Amino acid sequence: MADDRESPTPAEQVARLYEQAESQAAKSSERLVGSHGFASLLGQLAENTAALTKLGNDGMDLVIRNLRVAGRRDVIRLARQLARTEDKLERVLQELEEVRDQLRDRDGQAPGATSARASRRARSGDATGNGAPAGPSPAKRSGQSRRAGKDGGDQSGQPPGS
Amino acid sequence: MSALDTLSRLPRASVEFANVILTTPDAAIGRTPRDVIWTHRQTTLYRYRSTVRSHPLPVLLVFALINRPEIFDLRPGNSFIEFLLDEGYDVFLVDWGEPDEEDADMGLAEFVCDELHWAVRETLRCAGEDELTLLGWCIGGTLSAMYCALNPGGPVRNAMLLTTPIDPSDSLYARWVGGDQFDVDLIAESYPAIPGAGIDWANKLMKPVTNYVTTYRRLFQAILEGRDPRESYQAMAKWVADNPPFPARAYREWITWMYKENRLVAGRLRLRNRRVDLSEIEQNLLVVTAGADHIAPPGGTVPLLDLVASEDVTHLDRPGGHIGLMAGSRAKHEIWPELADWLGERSGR
Repeated sequence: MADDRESPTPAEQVARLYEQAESQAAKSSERLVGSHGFASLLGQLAENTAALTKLGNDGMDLVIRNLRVAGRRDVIRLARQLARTEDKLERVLQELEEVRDQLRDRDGQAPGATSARASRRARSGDATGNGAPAGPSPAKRSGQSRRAGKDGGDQSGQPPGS
Repeated sequence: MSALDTLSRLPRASVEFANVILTTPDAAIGRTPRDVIWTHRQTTLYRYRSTVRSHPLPVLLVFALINRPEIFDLRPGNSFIEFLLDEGYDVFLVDWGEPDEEDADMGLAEFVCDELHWAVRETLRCAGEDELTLLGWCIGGTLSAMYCALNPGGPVRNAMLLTTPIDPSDSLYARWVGGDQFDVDLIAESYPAIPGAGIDWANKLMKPVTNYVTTYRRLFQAILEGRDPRESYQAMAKWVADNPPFPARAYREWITWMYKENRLVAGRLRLRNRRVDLSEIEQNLLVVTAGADHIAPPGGTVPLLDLVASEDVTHLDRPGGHIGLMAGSRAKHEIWPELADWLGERSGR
């Protein structure tokens, strides 16, 4: 039994040799890709690919433009306009929520709770740096989602604030 | 197994091997039920509800821009999200989506100051809490660190940064893209959305034999020996192959600021005219590094420990790779319980 374990079969020997070779190849290849020469080669390869892609895209765009057909650039321009509108809408929604929270605080909550929340808001500050509504403002909503997502819908089944 | 046995099993093993490879795209990953909480442009915030919620503080998960966040929820029985839910946490996840050419104007400032900032806001509103735990992994960790630095005293109580590049100057990536030989401007100009396949190729090229040979050899060997690696292999392989494009502006900024100029650790990175000063981070901080991480080597993360102002700083350095540490077969019994212990002590009211 012991002898059997000590002497590997030819198949096991082949497998072990292969694994050793693979391990050596792995180490060598990692040394190779870590060299500055390889980094240079990779940089040039990336540049060539990028330049060729740009040439191809520009040529294709020119053809499509001359055919008076809406091309990729036109679609992107439209999509960016939509994105800008969505940005503005998001900021308006956040402002609305801030105002609604303030109104709710003023109408229905104890003065102590209101001041605590206000102080938390002041502490959290504004990281947007672009005049967007101030930092995250918590509102106790017991896990209810705020508004419909792309594919999720309003979890409460009711319009916000209802 | 004798040579004859091996030979007789070869045809069947070959067919099964081919079947495992070919049906990988059908593998089901990210199966834990979730709700869409908020969307903006490509970003979606998801909520995973715990049925045994015992910790008031929600956990917001942030992953990298170059892979899908399903790695947090790889497959039933091996899902970090499932684990957190069982531990009693309310879990939220930021999904950056699939940016396309129209998102080429998305820079790091947009991701940190808009998308992440608003995701934090929505998480707090939805959970009905004032504070949360921010858990960032890979680039997601760097974005989370930037967010914490810009919001000292903000709503983040605990920051957990997993295999996060902070000072990548000594990494292989820095050697590849940090020098003048890599013209990031030309690439960002040519590709409004840097193809995910290109980034995946570069990632795999860091360990070419391991990624292109050893992985498949081990799979074949496991099948030949009668084991059933289908589920685990397919889930990981599907996730690895799913690489969303990197918006050109964010890519240009990431490569230039992190790898060419190393601005973050030097305190010279500015987002929307505000300096990202890591010494402003004062949250309870957990930094996890993986000993065999070739993408974000531990040496590129630990400088953070000396920079932050946090009084509660913990560093875990564990064996494993960049992804394997958290998503490998041993993670569930090794690193996850450690994370849960750290978090549990800091998640009360």
